Amino acid sequence: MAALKHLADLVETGKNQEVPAAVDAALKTGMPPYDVLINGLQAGLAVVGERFKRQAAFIPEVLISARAMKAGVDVLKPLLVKANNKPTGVCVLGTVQGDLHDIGQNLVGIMLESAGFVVHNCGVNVRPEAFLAKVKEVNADLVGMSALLATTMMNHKTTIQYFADNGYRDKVRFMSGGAPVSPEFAQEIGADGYASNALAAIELAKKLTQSGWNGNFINGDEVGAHMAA
Amino acid sequence: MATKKMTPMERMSAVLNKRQPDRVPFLITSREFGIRYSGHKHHEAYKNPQLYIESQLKILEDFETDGVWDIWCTPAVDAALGAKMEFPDDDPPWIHEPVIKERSDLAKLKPVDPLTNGYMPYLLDVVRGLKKAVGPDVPVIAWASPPFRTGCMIRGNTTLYLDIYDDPIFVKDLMEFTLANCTAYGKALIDAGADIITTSNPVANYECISLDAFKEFAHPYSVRMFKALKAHGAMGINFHTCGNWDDRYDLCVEGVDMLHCDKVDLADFCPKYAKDVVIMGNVRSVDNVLRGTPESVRREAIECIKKGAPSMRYVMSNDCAVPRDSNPANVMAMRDVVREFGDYPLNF
Repeated sequence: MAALKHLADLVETGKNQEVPAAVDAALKTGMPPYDVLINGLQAGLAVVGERFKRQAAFIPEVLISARAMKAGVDVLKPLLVKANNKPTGVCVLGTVQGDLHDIGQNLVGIMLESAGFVVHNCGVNVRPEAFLAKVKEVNADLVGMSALLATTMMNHKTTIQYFADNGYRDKVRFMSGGAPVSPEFAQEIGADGYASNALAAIELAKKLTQSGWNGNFINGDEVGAHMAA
Repeated sequence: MATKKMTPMERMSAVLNKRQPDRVPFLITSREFGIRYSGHKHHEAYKNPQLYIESQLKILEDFETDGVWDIWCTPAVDAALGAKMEFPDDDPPWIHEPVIKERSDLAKLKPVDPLTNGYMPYLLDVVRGLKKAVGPDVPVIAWASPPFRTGCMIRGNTTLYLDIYDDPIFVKDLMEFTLANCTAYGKALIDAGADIITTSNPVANYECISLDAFKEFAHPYSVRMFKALKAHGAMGINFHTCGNWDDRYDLCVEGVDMLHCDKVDLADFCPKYAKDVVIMGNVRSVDNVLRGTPESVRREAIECIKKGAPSMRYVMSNDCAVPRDSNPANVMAMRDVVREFGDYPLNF
């Protein structure tokens, strides 16, 4: 449909100021808000996402598209709540204790929101007990942990262990990422999955929140590569 | 055959000037590892310059490296411009809050004076102390942020990436401003005794911005800074690539004397770029130096020296900073490979 195609184009090219009016126009045709979200806004971002995977688009291009998408989601949100559309999942994000770096983590948050997740970003230097408190508060499905330093990445393990010690390990799924983190490390410390970048994190988050997930460790980079192929 | 044992300065000078050294030089970015190895915590390095200097001297002596490093990667210019820097207990400091909240804030910023503002005088004291301690025979390597990185730090990465689309003229104005400030600090480091200026730009790599954006907003400003620092007396500019630079290596060797690289295969990389730059690297810091064993580090170091050393423009090193908690025996394994296999003419 032309209205949805137009909306997708606006998101793809990052024209955030034009998006709210285009969303209104699509709704006025009688289209359900959820269809506008999925087939308009998310379709536009998906194009940029595919380019990002192929390294034909980069962080600035993803950011302007995500911003345009958010401008549309802000219009749709009350309508989606009214229609009782449930989020894809609820994710608590944070850079682990001792680490103050957040660029990758922020990008993951933006992209997860764009993919329909509710994201609670706890920021940097997040202690294990703060992760757990937020997970309990918002009834999260996922915990996304980041670190940039080889020293602080060990706190991914500490955080998972803290959840285990408090009887909460099996209630959430852990995603591990950040520059020094490897899939082998993530698996070794007991995370449920690993992703090296924001797009892979989305694929990973979707897999981990699917009812059919079998409990095996997932390398989000390989999920993305498979999809791209 | 080289008969006289070179000093570290002679050795580094040889590879920088396309002459055969007596052996493969060995450098490790040893800031946090050195502090820990000396029994201290990272934040202490910002309170007592002598403590940090002694940690570097211990690294120099025990690991027989060919240079000492200042407190690498401290965002001193960014903090002096007003960005908030936090000091974790035992990890490097980081900019926690940018200073340019609105684009109009740029006009309010004053150029920094490296001799008086923020932590720059302290870091200059460290460099003076290092040079005094090691003398002319050992290079002092000091870090200066490139303009794009400092721009990202004082504006915020995400915001600056959006500015590239929203207001490219502002980004260029910001780069001119950071260029002037980063260059002023780099010159002060040279005046204080730094022989080699090292830098890194992890926010401008192939994983972050397009080649077009790199050419427009990052690269030209870096090159102008590097040329100014060479003209001011730096014996070399070392560029730590940090991440994937596959589509822009041809550009980033411009104005640079050494590339400290990761994520490349030295077998391909050295033949291609050794005519332009010295290549330093790339034993994996986290997956091997931190998490491996002396045997696994030895195996990888041997692979690296076999691939890199025939170019005669190779420096044995890890691929990034040596992680703080690395087993010293793993680092020693790299030194031992240099001892065993590094002499020219090579005899593997």
